[in-house]
Formats: sequence, structure tokens, C-alpha cells
Amino acid sequence: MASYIIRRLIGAVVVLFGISIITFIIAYAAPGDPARLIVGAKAPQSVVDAVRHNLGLDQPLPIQYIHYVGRLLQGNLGFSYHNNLPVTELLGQRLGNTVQLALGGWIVELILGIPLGIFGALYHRRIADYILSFLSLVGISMPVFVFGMWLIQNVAHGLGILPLGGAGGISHLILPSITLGVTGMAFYQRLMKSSMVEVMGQDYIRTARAFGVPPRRVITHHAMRNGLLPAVTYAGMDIAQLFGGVVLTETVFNYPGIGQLAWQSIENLDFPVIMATVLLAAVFVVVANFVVDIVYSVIDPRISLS
Amino acid sequence: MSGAPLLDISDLRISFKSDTGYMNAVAGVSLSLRPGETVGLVGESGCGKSVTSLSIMRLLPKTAKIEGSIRFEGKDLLGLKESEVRKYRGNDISMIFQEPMSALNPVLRIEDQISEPLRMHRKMSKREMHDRVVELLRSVGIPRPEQIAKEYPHQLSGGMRQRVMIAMAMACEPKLLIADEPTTALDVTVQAQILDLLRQLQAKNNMALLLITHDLGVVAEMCERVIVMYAGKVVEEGDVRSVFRNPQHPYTVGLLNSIPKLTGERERLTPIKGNVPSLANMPVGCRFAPRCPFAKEICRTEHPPLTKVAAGSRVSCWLAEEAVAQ
Ligand SMILES: Nc1ncnc2c1ncn2[C@@H]1O[C@H](COP(=O)(O)OP(=O)(O)O)[C@@H](O)[C@H]1O
Ligand SMILES: [Mg+2]
Repeated sequence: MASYIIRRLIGAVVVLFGISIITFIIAYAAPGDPARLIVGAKAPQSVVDAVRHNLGLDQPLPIQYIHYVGRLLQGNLGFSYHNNLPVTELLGQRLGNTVQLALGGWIVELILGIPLGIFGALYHRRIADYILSFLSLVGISMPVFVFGMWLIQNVAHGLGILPLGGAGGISHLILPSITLGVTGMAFYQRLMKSSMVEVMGQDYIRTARAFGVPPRRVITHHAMRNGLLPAVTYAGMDIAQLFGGVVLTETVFNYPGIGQLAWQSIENLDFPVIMATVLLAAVFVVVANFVVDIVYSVIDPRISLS
Repeated sequence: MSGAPLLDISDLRISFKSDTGYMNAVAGVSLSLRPGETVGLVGESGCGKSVTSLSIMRLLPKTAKIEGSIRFEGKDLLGLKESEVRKYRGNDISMIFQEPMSALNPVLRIEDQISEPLRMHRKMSKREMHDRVVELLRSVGIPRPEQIAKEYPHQLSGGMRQRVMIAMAMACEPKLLIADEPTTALDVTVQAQILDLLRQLQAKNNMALLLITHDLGVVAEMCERVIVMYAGKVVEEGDVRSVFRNPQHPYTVGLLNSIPKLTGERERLTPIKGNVPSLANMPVGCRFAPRCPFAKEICRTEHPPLTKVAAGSRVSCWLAEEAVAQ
């Protein structure tokens, strides 16, 4: 177990290192001169050059990268000239909001996706299954902003019961979570359905039936844990999906989280912030996959972490 | 042949729904077991043994159409509601399967699986249930039962897993145990131990045993009566001694010739040439005719009835029919 954790940590460091190189190169290759962006279009060239020198932007690329990593290791994510704040502070203000929203969306995904998948498996190749499959296709292909806008228009504005946007308390979380969850749940539903169909055909399910276990208990006690395994694996990857969803959802609902910040930073070419959000997303994905492996080994006794 | 039968199957026909219509897998099988009796059901792979055995407790998938009658203690199981059949499953009738690995649930502890039939059919406290599980494990010859109860199937050997299956089957002291090739997946020494265990448990509980196998050697060792199936039909049945001494059907003769002899040098087996016909392509006459070295004209056009030809056995073969007529 200990050696497993150490191996995973080393793996995580390698992944994050790779991602830092990629974001760095993309930022470097992007159009626009950061020094010019900082001082403004009207400033004389001499000022631009001085700023560039101060920021170390006139040094060779590898040196710049080493400085960048050195700052990262000290917990310094850079400075957002656009917001006139250190990036860590910017992220810190918004991190809590985004974590709440991502969790909310994830819970909606699970609450809808898992039972609907099981339901689909029970009605495999029957009318109810075809209707569900169609709806899940609609869910998968529905863009976040279309569904989000629709909810704002018809629920928040139309019924006047929930806030139109912004953050602050549960009521602000409901519509964005539903938006994230509904557009993301279809994957869980499909995965759960196909894995349950497979599990229900296994010999040990026949054994359970042969010993008098009624259908409902066959599902809850004998099939579900086996059927959940692929969904657990997917949950790790889903964190990455959620991040994509979060960027759009936060923008649609004007929700002050990391996603909205990322969107604004892209619009403003605010590179230190863009790079920091990408790194943060990578950290989340790595951590989530680690948690998934542990959960997996708890559900499936055949897997041991060593 | 005295006393009311415990299980009485008559004219059982089973078909599976497919894209092109119904495929017939079992075509008019009749068999019966008296309390405490051991009957062997033999035949090559694919001849309908498992389908027949699964139909008894209505465990076939929904695509199966079952006709005929299956009476247990006089009650027709095919006429019962699903919830009523459930009261028999694992209670008065138990079943064990060929693959002890895949037949046990990989994510549930042994104890959890063995106590399932108790939970379904007996009112017991947790404590009583645990004690019963340990007692069952001990009775099937599992060492350290307290510890094994807490383990998972993948931690046990094949033979141990089959013992666990048997313990589960014995939980509610069934009157009938259906064992579908219980030793096929095991190696020879373990095979003998498991058969031994079955025999002991059977004698102790006066339990009837329907033993399904493709191995006539197992039948000779275990059974009082034998039923030989071929392509969904019974071709010969009778008490083991009569059938082994004086097999009537060429298929039975073929199966007997393919038993490995344990005496002397390892003799070459003479397996029956050819394959079991597919469900979609059943011969019109005797189903064995295409593989039968003695087949005549009538064998290819008309199916022979199952008739009594010698004391204690019945056979479905035109040749035997003629021999009797002469
Ligand atoms: N669920 C099913 N659907 C369709 N055909 C089946 C099904 N189960 C068994 N069969 C067919 O029925 C025939 C008898 O199978 P089975 O009873 O398993 O043979 P065995 O004597 O080896 O146990 C085979 O041809 C098999 O393909
Ligand atoms: Mg079989």
C-alpha cells in the first residue's frame, strides 16, 4: 500500500511536470506580446522593452521555463496584470465556488445517470429502454449554453423562483448544477446500462436466482456492485469533463468560479491565469483518479493496491 | 419402482425464440426421481442436459418456451407464479453448477453468499445464520470455516469453491439436488473428493440427486438409474447395471466405449464420430441416424418410440425394436 502510494505520487509529479511544459510552450507560442499587453498599446517601445527585461521575457526559452517552475515550486503562480492581483489570490477567491458547483453537478449526474442506467438494463430492448436511450442522446448532444439559457429563461425568469445567476448559497447552485448534471449524466447512464446488462447475464446472477433471491434483491445485492465498477472508473475521467462543463456553465450563469475566470482570461490573453487554471485542472484530474483507484479496490476485492 | 415420485417430468419440450423463429432444444423428455434416489443424466455437450435441468426451477431466460409438465411432490412447477416457484429455489430443490468460479459472486464474501438461501427461506437471527454457515462449511469439509467464511471466491481453489457451492445448496436441506456437471471443471483427484462428498451428504439427508454429466464413469460410480440424452431426446434409460451390461442404443454403446479405462495401460478411447446436430438442422428421423454405423432406411425417415426392450430399461431405436419383434 505504501509503495503503491509512493509510485502514484511519482507518477503524478511526472504528469504535472509534462503539463507545465505544454502550457508553458502554448503560452509562449500564443500571439501577442505580454509586455505590450501590460503597458498598453500607446506606450513607447522603450517602456515595452524595459518591462520585457524586468519580466525575464528577453531570456532564452529554457531559462524562462526554469524560472517559471522555480516560482511554481514556491507556490507563486504569477501575477495577473489584467486583474492587478496575484494569481493565487484570484484562484483562492473562486476555488470554493467552483468546487461546490462541480460537486453539485457531479451529484446530479450520479443521481440521474446511475438509476436510469439500471432502469435501462432492466427494460433492455423494450420501449422504456428506447425512450431512455433517445433522451440520453439528447442529453449528450445538448450544448451547455443552450440548456443553461433555457433554464434561466424558463425557470429563473419564467417561474421567478431561483436566482438568474451569480453565487451565494444553495439557491444559486441549483440551476447550474442541473445544467452540468443533465448534460453530463448521459455517459453514466449508458455506461451503467451496458455494464448492468452484462452483469445480469453472468452465472452468479443465475446462482442468486437459483437460491430464491427475488429480482429486486438480485439487482441491489448481487448485481449492482459489479455493475458499478465501470462507472467508478469513468468518474475519474469525468472530473476532466466536468471542468469543461464548468467553464461554460459558470459563464452562462455569471457564476464567479475558476471556469468563468478561465474564460475571461482567455478573452483577455491573461496568460499567467490561463496557465494556472490548466495546471489546477490537471491536479484535480490526477487526484480524482487516485481516489477512484482506492474506491475501486474497496468495491472489488479482487483488486489489491500493490 | 414403488412409491410416488419426488420429481416427475413428462413430455418436456423447450424452445428458444430466435430471429428466425423458435429453435427446439428439448423435444419430449420424460424422467422421474424417487425420494433419495440418484439418477444420472448423460449425453454429449449440447444435447440439452443443462437446459432440461434449468427448466425444473424455471431458471431459463425469458426467450425460452417450456411445455409439458414438471411435477415436484405432485405440484406442477410450470403452472406456478414466479413468486411461488421462488419458494422452491434453494429450499426444497437446490442446484449446483459446472463452473464454481463464475457461479459465485466475485464481490461478496463466502458467508454472505451461503447465508442467502437461509435469508430467503428461514427466519434466523444474524448469530444463528453465522453459526449455520460455519456448520455448513465444516460439513462440506472446509478447514478453518470461521476464516473461510470471511474470504472471497477468488481466494479459494476450484475444489474449495465447489464445496462452497455445495454448502450453499445444502443450507435449507433440500429434498432434491440438481448437480449440473459439478466436477467437469475440476481435476481428477478433486473430482473424486467432490463426488464422495455428494454421496455422503445424500445418504445423510436422504436427498434425491439428479446428476448431470457427460462422463459415464461418474454415472457408474454414483447412480442407480441413468438417462441417456441425445439431441434433445431421451434415447435410453434404465437402471445403471442393465444399461452398462447390456446397452441397447448405438449411442449408449458409443459413450461406453469412450470411457477411459482405469485398469492396465491407458487404452485409446474410441469417441463417436461426427457431431451433435445443430438446433436449426435436426434430422427428421432418428436424430442419431447420421452418426449411427447401423442406420437403415427407416432410421432416416421416422423417429423410433421409447419402448421397453429388456427388464429395467427402455430404448428409442429401430434396431432394438426389431430385435424384440423377432
Ligand atoms: N439461452 C439459450 N438460447 C438459445 N439457445 C440455447 C440457450 N441455452 C442453450 N441453448 C441451446 O440448447 C442446446 C442445449 O444446450 P445445453 O442444455 O446447454 O447442452 P448440454 O447438454 O451441454 O448442457 C444447445 O444447442 C444450446 O446452444
Ligand atoms: Mg451443460
